[in-house]
Amino acid sequence: MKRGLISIPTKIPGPIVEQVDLLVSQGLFTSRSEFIREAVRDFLADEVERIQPHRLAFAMVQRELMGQVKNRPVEEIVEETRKIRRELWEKRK
Amino acid sequence: MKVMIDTNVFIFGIERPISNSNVIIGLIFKRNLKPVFSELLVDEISDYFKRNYSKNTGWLVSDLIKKLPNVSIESESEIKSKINKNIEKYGFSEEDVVHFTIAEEFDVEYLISLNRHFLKKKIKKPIVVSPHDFLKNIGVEPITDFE
Repeated sequence: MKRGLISIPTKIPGPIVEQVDLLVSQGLFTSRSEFIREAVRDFLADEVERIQPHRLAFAMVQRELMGQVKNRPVEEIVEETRKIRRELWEKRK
Repeated sequence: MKVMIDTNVFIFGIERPISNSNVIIGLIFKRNLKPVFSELLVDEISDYFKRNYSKNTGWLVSDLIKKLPNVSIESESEIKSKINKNIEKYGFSEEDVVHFTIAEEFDVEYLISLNRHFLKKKIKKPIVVSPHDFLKNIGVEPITDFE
């Protein structure tokens, strides 16, 4: 995972930049960069959550499992899950 | 098409990116299948990851299941009266019959499992198949022969 700030050169229409500069001049953001960082962060959170929440959830699971997967034989997984099933069912009875 | 994915298949699909089980999870992501889970199934899957990895991983997997496209998670409490009848019908233990009862109740077409005890029985409703045979049945070429 990359850390720290990374420069991404981009072009933004003038009228939009003027509106950003207005918000910065009113003290709502410290700089154009800060505004863009906040905007990207918010949009990312909303869009990923709205459109593909399962993909984000899956990516988070994959990250947790990285380097830890045991590659056990199918029969072992089946046996263990049968045991878990019995135990959980007993607790529900 | 409604499918029920047994605990072992879901786990195998998450742990092994190159597997028929993982292809099936991919089909769910693409909204080609409608997964039906029982609350017990979700708890089993989550518990497996909690025991073998961490509490956080167990929670994340449970969260993933709840966010699957077109997912439905059904409660066993509503079908308890039918479970006992089905123990004789299917010849499985109570805790296994729960999933078959829910599959029946909610018109699940396929129950996909790696459990040989289930696969040996040749049940027709739901149709019980391995991940490999499920993919063949729906016209998708399986990527491995062994599961």
